[in-house]
Formats: sequence, C-alpha cells, structure tokens
Amino acid sequence: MRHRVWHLRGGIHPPEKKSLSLSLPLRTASLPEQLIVPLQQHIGAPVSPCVAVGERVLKGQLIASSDKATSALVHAPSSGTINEIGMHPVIHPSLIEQPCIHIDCDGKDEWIDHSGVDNYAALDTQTLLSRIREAGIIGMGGAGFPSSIKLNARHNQIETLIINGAECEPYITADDILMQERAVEIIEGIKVIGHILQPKEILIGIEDNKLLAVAALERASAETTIDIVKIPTKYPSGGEKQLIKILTGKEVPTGGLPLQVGVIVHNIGTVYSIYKAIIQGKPCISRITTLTGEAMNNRGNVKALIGTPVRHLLKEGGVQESQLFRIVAGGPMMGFTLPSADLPISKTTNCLIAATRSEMPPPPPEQTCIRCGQCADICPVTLLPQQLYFFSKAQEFDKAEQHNIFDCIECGACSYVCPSHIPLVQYYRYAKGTIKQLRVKEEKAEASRQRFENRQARLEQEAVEKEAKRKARAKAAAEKAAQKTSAEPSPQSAQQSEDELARLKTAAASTAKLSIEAKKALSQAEKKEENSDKLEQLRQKVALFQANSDKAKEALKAARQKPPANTPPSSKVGEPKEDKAILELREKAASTQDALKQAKKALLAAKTSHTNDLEAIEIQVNQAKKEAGAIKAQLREALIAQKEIPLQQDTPAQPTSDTVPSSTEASDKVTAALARNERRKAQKALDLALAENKSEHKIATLRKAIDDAGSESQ
Amino acid sequence: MSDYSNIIKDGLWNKNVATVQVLGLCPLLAVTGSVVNAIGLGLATTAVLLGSNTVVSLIRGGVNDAIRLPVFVMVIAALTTCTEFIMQAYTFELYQILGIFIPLIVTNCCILGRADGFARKNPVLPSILDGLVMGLGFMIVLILLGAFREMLGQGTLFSNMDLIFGSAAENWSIKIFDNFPGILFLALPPGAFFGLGLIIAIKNIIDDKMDEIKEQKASPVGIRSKRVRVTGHIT
Amino acid sequence: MALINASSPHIAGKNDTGQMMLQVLLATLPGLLALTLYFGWGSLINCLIAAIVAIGCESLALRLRKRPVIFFINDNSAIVTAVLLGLALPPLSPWWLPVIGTAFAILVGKHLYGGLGNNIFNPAMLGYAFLLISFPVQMTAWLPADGIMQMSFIETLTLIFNNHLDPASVAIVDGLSGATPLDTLKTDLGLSKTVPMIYELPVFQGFLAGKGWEWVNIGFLIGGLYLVYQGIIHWQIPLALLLTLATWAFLFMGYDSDRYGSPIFHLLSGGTMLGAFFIATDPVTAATSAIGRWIYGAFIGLTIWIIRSFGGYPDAVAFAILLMNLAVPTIDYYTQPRSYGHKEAKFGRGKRER
Repeated sequence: MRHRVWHLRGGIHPPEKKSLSLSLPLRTASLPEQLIVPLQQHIGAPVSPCVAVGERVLKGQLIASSDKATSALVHAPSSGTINEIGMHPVIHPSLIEQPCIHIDCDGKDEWIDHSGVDNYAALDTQTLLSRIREAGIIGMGGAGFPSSIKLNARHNQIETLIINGAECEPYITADDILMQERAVEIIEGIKVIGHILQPKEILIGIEDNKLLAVAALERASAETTIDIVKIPTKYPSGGEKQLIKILTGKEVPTGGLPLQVGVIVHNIGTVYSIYKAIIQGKPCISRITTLTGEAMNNRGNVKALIGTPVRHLLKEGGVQESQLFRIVAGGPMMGFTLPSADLPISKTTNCLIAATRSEMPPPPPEQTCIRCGQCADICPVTLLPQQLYFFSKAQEFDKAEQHNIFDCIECGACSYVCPSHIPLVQYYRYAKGTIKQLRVKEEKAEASRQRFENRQARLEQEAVEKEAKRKARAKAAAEKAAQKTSAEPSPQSAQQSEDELARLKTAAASTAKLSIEAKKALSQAEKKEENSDKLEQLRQKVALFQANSDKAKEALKAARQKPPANTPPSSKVGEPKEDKAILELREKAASTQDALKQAKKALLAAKTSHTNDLEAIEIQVNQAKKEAGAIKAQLREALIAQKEIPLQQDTPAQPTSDTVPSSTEASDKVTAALARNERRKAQKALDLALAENKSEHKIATLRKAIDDAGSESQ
Repeated sequence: MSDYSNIIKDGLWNKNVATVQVLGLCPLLAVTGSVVNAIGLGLATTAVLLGSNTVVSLIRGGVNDAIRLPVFVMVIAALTTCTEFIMQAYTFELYQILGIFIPLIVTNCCILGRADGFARKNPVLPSILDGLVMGLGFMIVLILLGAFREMLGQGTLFSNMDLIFGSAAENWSIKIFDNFPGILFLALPPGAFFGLGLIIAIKNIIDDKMDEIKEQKASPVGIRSKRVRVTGHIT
Repeated sequence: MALINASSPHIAGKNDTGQMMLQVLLATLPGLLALTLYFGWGSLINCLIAAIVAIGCESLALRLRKRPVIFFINDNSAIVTAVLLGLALPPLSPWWLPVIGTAFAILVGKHLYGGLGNNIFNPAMLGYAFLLISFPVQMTAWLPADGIMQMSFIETLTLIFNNHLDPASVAIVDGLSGATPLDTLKTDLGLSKTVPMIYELPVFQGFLAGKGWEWVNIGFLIGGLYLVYQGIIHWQIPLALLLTLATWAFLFMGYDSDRYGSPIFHLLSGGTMLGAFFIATDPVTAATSAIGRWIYGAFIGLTIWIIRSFGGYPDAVAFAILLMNLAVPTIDYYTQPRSYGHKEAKFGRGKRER
C-alpha cells in the first residue's frame, strides 16, 4: 500500500556520510573496566540510588529508583561492584555534573533473573506500562522523555502511531542498522505499543536512502497492518513535528503536543527497548551507538552499555588521537562537542563522531548578513531567520517573540546555508534563554506587586470598617442623648450642645497636636544646639501652644460635665435614668482616663529629663490612677445593675455619680476584682522599683499603695 | 562677564542655530545657492533677531504668560516688515532674488525660539548680545554652505556680491575652474541637506577632538605619580 | 587530545558571500559583451575605473570605521556595486563621472548607512541617480549602436580621460552621441509623432526592439537566468517585474497604440533586464518574504512603466527601484509568512504596545 506523503517545506541536503559507518555489521562493544551510570538521563523527576558502595550488583539489577511517575529507573548495565556514588560530569552541552553510580565490572557480565511475558495481549495496559516504566525506558531518539508516560494516552485518542525511522542527520546510522538486523523484534515491539495505544493506523517513516532497512521491515511486517512509508531524504524530516507533517499532513499547534492532533511518535530504538522489556524482560541497559568520523579507523555501529566511557568507545572504534580535532556527541547538525573523552554515554547518545580538522574545520569568522534570504528558504518551520537574527543581536526580544522564535527547533539548517557564516542557532539559543529569564523575573515582580496590592486593600478595608464602627457608635451615642432630651428646644439645643462638644473636642485635639509638635521642634533644636534666640522662640511657642491646649481641654472637660440640655417635663416615659447615669459615668471615666494619661506622660517626660520632683509626679500618677480605677468600677457596677434591676421610671435625673444603686453582691465582686487588680499593679510597680533601686521614700509609697489596694479588696 | 562670554560661545558654537539646534532649515536650504544670497538672508535674519530680542526683553515684564507667543510673533512680524522695506529700498535685486524668504523670516523658529527661550527671561543687554551672536552664528553657517554649494554647483565664488556691497564688489567673483560642469545636485535643495550634514559632521569631529584634548589635560598620565598611603609611615 | 569546543551545527554548506558576488559578476559578462560589441570599449573602461575607485573608497571607509579592511573587501560587494554602476553609464562619459558616482555610491550609499547589509537604497542606483541629477548633459550622451569598430581602444581611452579638457574632444563626443531608443521615443512623442512613425527611425532597427539595445538586454537576461539557476537570486522578483511591465505596456498599447510602446519594446530597452535581474534582486535592499518579493517586483515594474510613459526621464529603472526600496520595510511589516503550527501569519514587529 502506498501511503500518501506530504511535502515538507524547506530543508537542506547535506552530504550524508552514512556509508562511513555501514561497512561493518552491528557488533557488541567490549566490556569496559568501569561503568559510570548517570542517574538523570531523562526528563522528569530524579531517581535516588537504592544500592550502597561496595555492594555487588548483577547485570540488569535495579540500582536507582523513585516512586514518581515521571522518573525513569536505572539498572546496572553489567555485573560488578559499586565503586562510588557521586557527582561526575556527563554528556551535556554545559558539562554539568550529575549524580552517577560507578560500577567496577567484574567481567562476568552475569544477568539477574529475568523473564518476559508470553502473551502481552493478555495483560492490561497499566501492567504493561508499569513494566515499561520499571525497565527504565525513555525516548532514545534524543529527548529522553519517559516512555511510560508518553504511552499513557486515553483510548480513542490516538489516530496514528508513527515510528520514527527517518534518521535524517548525516553520519548517524544507528537506527538504520537496527532496522536492518532486528526488523522482526522491532515489529513485535510495535505490536506491543499498538496493543497499548490502539491507534487507527501505524506508520513507520523511513528516508529513502535506507533501502535495506525498508526491505527488512517490509518483510517483517508483511502480515501486519503496519505501513512502511518511504519519505524523501531531506534534513530535518526526522524531527517529530516535521515527520508528522510529512506522514499525516497535520501540523502540531505551536506550543502543543502531537497528542493534540491524535498522533504519537516513537523512535525505533525505543521500540526495540520496549520489545526487550516486555518480551524478554530485560531492562534498558544498552543502546546502539554509531562510531564514525574520519579520525576513526574501525567505524561502525556498536551495541554499547549505558555508562561506557566515551574514551573506551573511541578506542573500540580505533581512533587516531593525532588526527582527532573534535568529538561530537550526536549528529553534526544538532549534536554538541565533548571537551574530554572521560564522559559516560547515556541512553540518548546515538552517535559519536571523531572528526579530523579538515572534516569539521573551526568555524570561519562571521560576516555581515546580506539578507540573501536563503535561511528563510530552507527553514522547516517557515520562520524568518534573518529577522530573528537581527532582533536577537539587538536584544529586541519582544520582536523576536512576535516572530515566533520559540517555534525554532534549532535544527541548524539556517546556519548551514548562511553564506556569511553567521552562527544563527547560537543567537537564537541566547535569545530564548534570555527571554525565559526575563519571564521569570517578570513573574516574580508581578507576584510581589500582587501581594502589595492585597495588603493595601486589606488595610483599607480595616480602616473602613473601623470608621464604620466608630460612626455607628457615635450615632448610637447621639441617639441615646437625643432620646433623653425632649422634643422641644431640646433637639436643637441637644444638637447644639453636641456640635459644641464636637467643636471643643476637635479644638482640644488640634491644640494638643500643635503643642506636641512645638515640643518636638524644641527638643530637636536643643539637640542640634541652635542659637539661643531660636531656642527662646521655640520655647515661647511651646508655652503658648501648651496654654491653648490646656484651655481647650478644660473647656472640653467642662462641656462634658455640663448637664445635658433641659429635659421638658413631658419627658419620654420609660427612659431609664440609669442610662443617663451610665452615660455620665462613662464621660467621667473618659475624663479621668485622660487625666491619668496626662499624668503618665508628665511622669515619662520628667523621667527622661531627669527633673527632681519625680516623686511628686509619681504620686500624682497614682492618684489619677486611683480615681480612674474608682470611676471605672462604678461604671461597671452601673452596667451590671442596669442589667439586673428593672427600669425605674420616675426618679428625676441627677447628675451625680455616687448614688447609683447597685446590687450589693455583684458590686462587691466587681469591687473585689478591681481591688485585686490594683494590688497586682501596685505589686508590680513595687517589684520594678526594687529592681531599679529606687529611693526609700518611693518604695514606702508603693508599699502603702499595695496595702491600700489590699484593704479595699476586703 | 563670564555670562557674556558664555552667550557668545553658545551662539557661535555650542548652541549654533543651524548645526546644533537645526532650526530655520527652510531658508537655509533654499537660499544658500550662492554666497551673496546667504549673506543677504543672514544679515536680514540677524537684524530681525537683534531687534526682536531687544524688544521682547524690554517688554518682558508686562506680557502675560498665556498670550506671550502671539505677542512675540507680532513683534517679530513688525520687525520683519521693516527689514523687508529696507531691503526693498536699498538692495532691490537681492530683494527680488530672495523673494518670499524675506517675509518667511517670521516663521524662522530660531527667532521665536530665542525670544521665548532667552529674551523673555533676561535683561536687555544680554538679550541684545544673544540676538547678535545667534544671528551671526546662523549667518556663518549660511555663508559656509553658500560657498560650498556655489563652488561645487556653479564653479564660482563670491559672484554677484555687488548686490549687497555695491558696485565696488563687482570684480570679487572668483572662477574656480573653466568649463566646470557644475554638480547640479548640489545646486538643488538635496545638495543643501547634504552640505549641512557635512558641516554638522565636521563640527562634531572638532567637538570630539576638543573633548579628547580636554580629557587629556584634565587627567594626564603621570610618569612618577606618588601613591599616598593611608596607614604606616609616609616617606 | 586538544579538542575544540564549538556550537552546533558542526558542518557548513558551501555558500559564501564572496563567491556569490563573484557569480553575479560572472553573470554580467554576456551583457557587458553585448555592450562592448555594439557600443565600443567605453563601458568596459568605465567598469574598470569604477571598480578601482570602489575598492579605494571602501578601504578608506573601513579604515575610518576601524574595521578590518581585507576581511571586508573580500566579500566583493564593492566591486559588484561598481560594475553595475559602470554598466549603467554612457560609454564615452568622462573619467570623473564614474569616479564621482562610485565614490558617492560607496561612501554615502553604503557606508553612511552602516556598511554592507545595512543600506536601505541600492548603492549603485543611488550613485546613478546622483549622477543623473547632477550632470544631465554627460549622462544622456549615449552612442549610436555602430559596433565596436567605430573607435579603437586607445581612442576611447583618450576621449574618456580628455573629455572635459580638450574642446576638440568635447566636440567629437558631441558629434558622436545619439539618443537611446527610449530617449528618442519620449522626445518624438513630445513632438506629436506616433509610435509607428517613431519605429521607422534608424535607432529602432533591431530585429525586436532598439538596435543594439535588444542584444544588451538579452545578454543580461541570459546572465540573470544563470543566477536563478544557481539559486543566487530569487526568481520571484524578476518575474514579477517583467510580467507587470509587459502587462501594463500591453494593456495601454491596446488602449492607444499610437502613444505607448509595445511590451517587447519595454522589456528589451534601456536598463530593464539589468534592473530586473541584477539590481532589483540585490538581497540587501529587496523584500524578505516570498509574497513580499512578488509585491516588490510588481510595483517596480509598474513604476518603471509609469515613469517611462508619463514621467520626465526617459529611463526609469533607477528611480523605480529607489522608490520601492523605500517601501521595503512596510512590505516586510505586512508580509510575514505563516509559521508551522500557527493558524495564520502575524504581521507587524511586535513592539510593546500590543
């Protein structure tokens, strides 16, 4: 059956150089002395070792695992002793160090007990997926994504399963040889995946320069519904998105997954590993790696154990060190150079190129872009590389994003064709990295701005609520006052007296504020040691403001203690005079509290300025305290009485605080409690005074206060 | 006195109307085809600038801020009309050659710019000096450009100077080459843009060189500079 | 093992800017040959003078800009500019004409904008326009197509270098010069002759169009097709240009064949083929995307026709190309291609005010 092939735009035809490594059949690499197995070969959650140093492990034994689904387990590629578990540089463009397990091979290559399934079709999907996960299978085409997750798709979601046998990069022949020599096993593996995913069709895409592989697979798949599709040889038709376009004509939406168009793509190597895992029960511990490059004499494909040092494989390939100029891991278009040969290969290392200087010369100097447009002609993603180049160079990252820089697959075709030898891919990598960093910064800034705004809103809300409560209270108080006075002149006069009260309050407050400010200014000036004229001025100001403030406070006090507006004879019945009395008591309590505060302030001021009449002021303070406390007690009693005694309706209003009836028990209790409080306070003051070594006289005073408080409580 | 020298320096070099502020380009491009035209318009502009700065500075106390611009334009228009009449009387051919660009001195942004930017805020004497110097600076650039364009566009220099200076100047004209074809491009306005660009470039080069020299003088690299130690003995 | 650390890709194609420019020079040879065969040695000498001046000006500019001189000269772009300008000049123009024109083109048209790759206008056309406006007499003194033997190489050289000094030489040049077909057409149409009458004139006695000029244009056509085959220029621009020019000429010839030239005439006269294949396709100043190239080429063709038919100058290629060079940023703004995975093409430059 000829399956339709769509045309992929762009692409280049670099010299293939595949025949360099196809002259010899697939061979197994010799066992190295030490295997360095990296633990993070995949994209996903890290795994932690489950063996200890010195332990002997068998081939295929689990040596690192994790519970997370996005992790890929690691197994020992050969039998031997664990030498070390630590950090080691791995194959990565950044030469990053990652945790690795070093195994000294004992040469026996002894397998752990393992067995495959006889009939995979009888098992359900989850069992198969967990087996695949336990075998540590990841995408061996280069990305390294755990395969068990990729295969975990809902039924009826997958229309097409594509097996990627394109291998479009020059030099690499690993998949080619695998397809030629293990075609039957591959078809079996595909069947397993087909059983898991239940796609409507299965396609294997192979470039038409691999005719032997095509023939082998066609023979092996003769009885199945698997389609072998030959696609034109072009780089980069083996990229996942490009292959999907070629074989199905669909385009994966930007930033999306192939799953969104109902397609899943797997690499041939992964398929083979799945076969070995399910049918043979062997975990993923080796892969086919192409050893090629003109500095090597025995070029070819080897089956290499994961963790084999590159140096060992280079020796295996017969490298001539004098000729060696560049080691590339991966293909020449997308691979990266290795600065040393002491790195271990991982599950995704599909090729090692040992290049001579003439084969891969150092890059020539960059010239000016002449806007020839050849890069745009061959871009497989239909971008405008020269615009992206200009924007990346000028650091205009928003424009680069708008020109879809994040769709770039970094295939390197644009750099390949550029006549001015501009390293375009490097510019795009730089731009992408910088944009990502900027995004992270922006997000952080956004989060902190959000926190700030929330806090501001919360504070505002609290302020509003406070204000509302205060207004409500004021309103309630005003209503109560209005209720007490009669309807005739009283509403007006009540209003008037309220207004008067309010005015006096504000006057008192403002004058107090002015006086405080003046005092502050004076103290600052004194600190700064201004000239005496200025100081004198400030002092006068202070005195003036203080006088004003005192006057205002007096007026306020008087207004508060004034009897409220005339109550007409026909006062409203049912007005509990207790309320009035309580109101008066409240006002008195407020004023005595004010007085107490003043006294305390004076005390503090006196303390800081070290005046001599400290004790007198202290006595004042204590007296004020007593007064305030007494009034408070009375108020409390009155409130309690109000609740327990029914309203009395006839007694005229009397502005006094002493004749408030009280139920004896409750008042006794309250008095007692208050007195105890007083005593405690006095005791505290005494302790403090003793600790501070105050004068004898003071201590005597305090003791007396305690005694007083004690007597009261009885 | 330093104020006055600053005014002079600004007008002639640092804030030159044509090369730094790049104002008044319309007459600059249109009348710099030859030196005599350039001198003519330069003198007219300077006269108007001088007069307007003086008047504006004198009346600056009494002009309401909100209507100052129309008032200044009226002053400038009056002065321009005076200048036009003078030119019509005494240099009639030049008046005809310059044509509409004499009345257009009113719209020359540098005049209004100096009136609003300087004369409004400064007493009379500095304003007079500023007007004079700015006008001179403008005229110098006009003359340079006129010479450049006349030499390369027509192949002569100082031709027709008698239009301003009277019959004594009839033989001041110099012919550079015989049979000079004349680069027509430079005789047209694009050439004036070009020439102005070159003049600005040369000015910038001179400025950069002067800055370099100043820097060198300010911090010379001494051969035996002492390093002062903060602790220990200072020998 | 001394291993180098390099970024992917590790192999590179064979494209090279210097090589590309050399190919362009190679492609001008057929046209240059035709020019020499029909109009004498003048064009060749002009090209040589222009090339020498170009390299000198480029070195001067690079030194002033503190760039490595040899490295940048090796991209051969200055020589290409010079040769294209030299091909556009009349054969017997005085030596200082290519000198001034090339100096203007390289210094002002290329380096003042930032050097290769940064200029908005085609430098050769900028130089040509400058010369045309500045020295209209010298720039319109073309020769009749009397073949290469009308003057020997030495004679031509002498005339060129003596042109402005010796009145006798000036008289000779004046005597020799004749108008191009386009020039004749415009002048005679102004004299109320009809096109069929004008076609009787000797200057039009080629087998397709103007004598000699048709071969020059065919020569440039061959060179241009070679460049398209080699993939050095994009075929959309010349095709759009020629197609639009021919279509409009055809339409208006149908409308009033007494006043408008035929499509073949327009395609094979003046600088049409040179402009279509060598100058409009200059990558630095042309549009970027495929659709953009179509629009760019089409509008150049239209503008050429309009200026030739209604404008003041006989040949319009230079001005049409300069005008469309101005429009290229706008064309690029609106014609981005649709990328893989996107539903439709974006436009604009994506500045912050999205």
